[in-house]
Amino acid sequence: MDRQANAAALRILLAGNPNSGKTSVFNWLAGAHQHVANYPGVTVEKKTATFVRAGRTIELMDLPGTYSLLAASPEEAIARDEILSGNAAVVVQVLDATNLERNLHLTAQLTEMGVPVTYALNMSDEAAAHGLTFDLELMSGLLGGPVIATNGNTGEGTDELLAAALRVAAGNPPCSGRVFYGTDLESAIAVVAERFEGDDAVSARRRAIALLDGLPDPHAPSGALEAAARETARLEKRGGRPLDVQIAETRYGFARGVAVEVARESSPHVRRASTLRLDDVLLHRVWGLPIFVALMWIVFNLVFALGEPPMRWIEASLEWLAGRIAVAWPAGAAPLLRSLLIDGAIGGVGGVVSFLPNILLLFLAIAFLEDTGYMARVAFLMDRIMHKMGLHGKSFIPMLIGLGCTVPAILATRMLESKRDRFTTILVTPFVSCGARLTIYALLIPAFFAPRWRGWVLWGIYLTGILAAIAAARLLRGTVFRGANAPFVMELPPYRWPTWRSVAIHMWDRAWMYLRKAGTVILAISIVLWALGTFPRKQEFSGEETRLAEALEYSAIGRIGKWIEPAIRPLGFDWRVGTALVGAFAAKEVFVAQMGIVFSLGGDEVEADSLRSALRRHYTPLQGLAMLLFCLLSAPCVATIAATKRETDSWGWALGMLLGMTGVAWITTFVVYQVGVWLAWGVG
Amino acid sequence: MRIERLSAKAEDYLETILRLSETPRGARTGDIAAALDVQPSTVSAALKSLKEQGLAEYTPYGAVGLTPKGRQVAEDIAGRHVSLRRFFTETLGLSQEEAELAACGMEHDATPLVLDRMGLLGDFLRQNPALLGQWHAARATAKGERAPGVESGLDELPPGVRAVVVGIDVDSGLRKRLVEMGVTPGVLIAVERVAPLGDPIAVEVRGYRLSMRKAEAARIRVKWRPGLI
Repeated sequence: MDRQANAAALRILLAGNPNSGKTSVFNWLAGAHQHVANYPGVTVEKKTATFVRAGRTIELMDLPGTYSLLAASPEEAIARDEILSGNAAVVVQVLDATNLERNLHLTAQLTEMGVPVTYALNMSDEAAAHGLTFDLELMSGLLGGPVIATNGNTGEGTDELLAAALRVAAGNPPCSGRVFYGTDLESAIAVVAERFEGDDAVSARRRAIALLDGLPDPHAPSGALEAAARETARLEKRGGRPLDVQIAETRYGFARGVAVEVARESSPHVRRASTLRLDDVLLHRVWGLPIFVALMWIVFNLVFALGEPPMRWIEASLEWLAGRIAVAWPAGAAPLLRSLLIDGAIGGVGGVVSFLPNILLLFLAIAFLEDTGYMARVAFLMDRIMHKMGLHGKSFIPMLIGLGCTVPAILATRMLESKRDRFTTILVTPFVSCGARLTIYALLIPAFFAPRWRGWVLWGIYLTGILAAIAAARLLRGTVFRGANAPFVMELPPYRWPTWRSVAIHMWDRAWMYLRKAGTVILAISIVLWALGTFPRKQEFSGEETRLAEALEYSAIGRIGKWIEPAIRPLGFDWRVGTALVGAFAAKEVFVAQMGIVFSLGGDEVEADSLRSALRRHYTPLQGLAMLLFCLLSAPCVATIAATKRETDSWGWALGMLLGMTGVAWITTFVVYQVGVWLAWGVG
Repeated sequence: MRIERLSAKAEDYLETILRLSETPRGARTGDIAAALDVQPSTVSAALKSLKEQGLAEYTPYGAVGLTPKGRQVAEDIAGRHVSLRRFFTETLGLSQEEAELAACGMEHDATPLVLDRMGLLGDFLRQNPALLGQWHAARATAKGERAPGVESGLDELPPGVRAVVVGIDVDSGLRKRLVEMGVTPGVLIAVERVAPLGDPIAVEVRGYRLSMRKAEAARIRVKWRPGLI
C-alpha cells in the first residue's frame, strides 16, 4: 500500500447508476475531458482526474455506472473493490432525482460498506420542472450523509458538493444510514457475521449479507459458509422464495420508503409524458422501423459523405507534403531515408489520420444517439433480428458502420456491455464489405463480367459478406462464445437533450483514444510493410519500363508473393495476385495499385482500362471471381487488426481474426474455384 | 345435422343415453330417470317415441341403446354442449355452474352458424392470449371487479394492464439482474409496449422503464390487476 501517496492525494470516488448523470458531475468537478453518456454501460474503465482544491491534491475517480455493488459483473466488481480498498476518503453517490427509488437501491448497498458518503441529488431541476421537490435535510438524515442538489448540465451545485465531500472526508464519519432487514433476516445476518472472527463489525455484517445474498466469498471461513447455508435454507423455507429475492425486496423497501418520505409529493416518481409521446412515434409498431432506417441512413451519410471532403483534403495535403519533400530532397541523396519518409512515414500517417474525419463524425453521431437515449431504442428495435444471429440488438450499429469502414465499426462495439456480444461483433464485422474493398470490385467486376451482370455480381458480393458475418456469428456463439445469452434486461432511459459540451467531450475522448492506441500500431505496421516492399533492393533493371515491377518482384513482398504461390494456386492465383494481396494488407485499396505495378502499367497513376485488359489477358472470369471472393473474405487490413487489438486488448484475438478470416477466404475461394474448373465454368 | 322438429327434451334424452351407455352398466331406464330428474314412467314414454323415430332401441328391463342415426344426433348435441360450456367459461369468464346451466339451455336452440362463430371467436382469443387478457381486464373493469385469478408470465400481460409480480421462476444471473433492477415480488408492473418486431417488450416498474426479451419476461410470474394505467 502506497501510504505516502494516500497522504498526499485525497481520493474521492464517484459512484452511481448508469444514466444518473454521474459522468457529467465528474466533468464539472474535475474540469476534465471525460465522457458523458445517457446510456447504460458507457463507462467501462476507471477514469481519474487529479486537481488541486483548497490546497489539497484531490484524486477523483469515476467508477463504472452500476445498478448494484454485488460484484456480479466486472463493472460492479471494479466499483465494489475500489470502495472497499480503504484508499478512498469519501464516496460521492450521484442520485437521479427523477428516478430516486431505483437509485436508492444502490444507496442501500453503499450504506453497508462502512465508508463516508456524500450524496449528489442530480437532475433535481428536472424533477422540480415536473413538480417534484425534496426535503434535503430529511434525506440527509435518512441516508447518513450530506445531500447536495446538483445540475449536471450547468454545473450548479458541484462546488458545494465538493466542499461537502471534503468536510465529510475531514471528519471521516462513516455513513450512518442503515437498512434494517427485518427480524428474521437480521438474526440470520447476526449468526453468520459472528463467524467472521477476524473482521470488524461493519465488514462482518457486509460479508454476512453478501453470503446470504448468494455471492461467492472465497476467503470466508468455513463456519460462516456453513452458517450461511443453514440460515439460507431456513429463511427460504419460511419466506417461500429465494433469499436473494427477499434481500432485494428489503433493500427496495428501504429505497421506496426513503423516496416517498423525502418527496414533497404523493408519488416519488416523475411521469415523463414527453418521453412516452416520443416513443409512441419512434417505437411505433409500423413507423418505428422506417424512422430508424431513415436515422441510420442519416448517420451513415453523415459519417461517410460529410467525412469524404476532409478526408480528401488530408490526403491531398499529405501528397502535397510528400511532393514538396520529393522536390526539395534530391533523389540521389540518402535515397533510402527519402523513401522511408515519403512512402513509409507519410503513407503511414496518412493511413492513421485519413480515417480521422470519419471517426470524429461517427463518434459525434454515436455520442448524440447515446446522450439523447435513442441508442437504447436501437437495441430495443433491432434485438429480435440480431438475437437470431446470435448477437445483441446493439450489434446492428457497428455492422452498419462496417459498410463504410471496419475501423470505426470495431470502435463502435464499445457500446455493447457483454464481452461475449462485443467480441463476437468485433470478429464478424470485417466480413461486412467496407468502402475500401469497393475500389477492388470497381476494378475487377468490369474487367471480367458483361455489363448486364455487373450489378448482380456487386450485389452478390455484398450479400455474401453479410451472410458470412451471420454464419460466423452463429459459429462463434456455438463454439468459442458458447453459453447462455446475457440478459437483455436494460433500462430505457428517458429522452434528454444533450448539451453540446457533453457531446463534444464524449466525441473527443474516444477519437483521442483511437489516435493514441490504434494510430501508433497502424503507423508501425505501415512502416514495416513499406520496408517489405522496398527491401531487398534490386540494382540492375532490364528496362526502364518495367523498373517498378522488377523492384517489387525482387522485394520481400514480391518474394512472399512467390513463396505463397503454391498455397494460392488452388485458388486460381499466381504470384502477382499474391503480391497484391500482401500489399492489400496495408489497406485494401492498395490491391489495385499493386496489380498496376506488377503489370508494369506505370507508377502511381494506373490507367484502369489498360489494367483491366491486362487482367483479361492473364486471368479467366472464374479467377476474377475468385479474386473478388478472396478480397471480400480474407484478412482485414492492418488498421482493422490494430483496432481489434485495441478493443479486445489482446493480440490473440487480433491474430486469430487474421488467420480465421484468411482460412475462411481460402476454403470458400478454393471450393468456388475448383467447382468452377470442374464445371468448366467461366474458364474460356 | 339437426333432425327436424326434434324436441329439446328428446335431445336431452339422446345425450343422456349416450353418456350412460359409455359406462359399464349401460343406460338403464332407472338411471336415465335419475339423471334427468323425471319419473321412470315418463322415461318409458319418451323412449317409445324415440324408438318410433328410429333413434333408440330397447327391450323392457334391458339396457337402452342408440341406433346409428340416434348416436349421431346425440354426439352432435354432446359436442355442442362441451364447446358451449368451454366458450362460457374460457371466453365469457362465467363460473362452471353458470356455464353448465347456460350450455344446457342453448345447446338445443343455437343454429350451427352461431355455434361455429362462437367456436371461432373462442379459438381466436385462445391463440391471442394478449387480446384475451385485454378483454378479461376490460370486462372485469366494466363490472368494477378483479379479473378472477388471472396469473401468467409477464410476457402474456397485455399492454396497458397492471399486474403485481408474484415470483421469478429462474435460478441464474437473470434473477439477480431482475431483482436489482427492482422487479421484486409485490411490485406493480405493466407492459408499456412491444417492439415493432414483436420482441422485446418495454415494461414500467418503480417509475422507470425497462426492456427485456419475452423469453425473460416469461420467467416473471404476475397476477393481473384490472384497471388501465
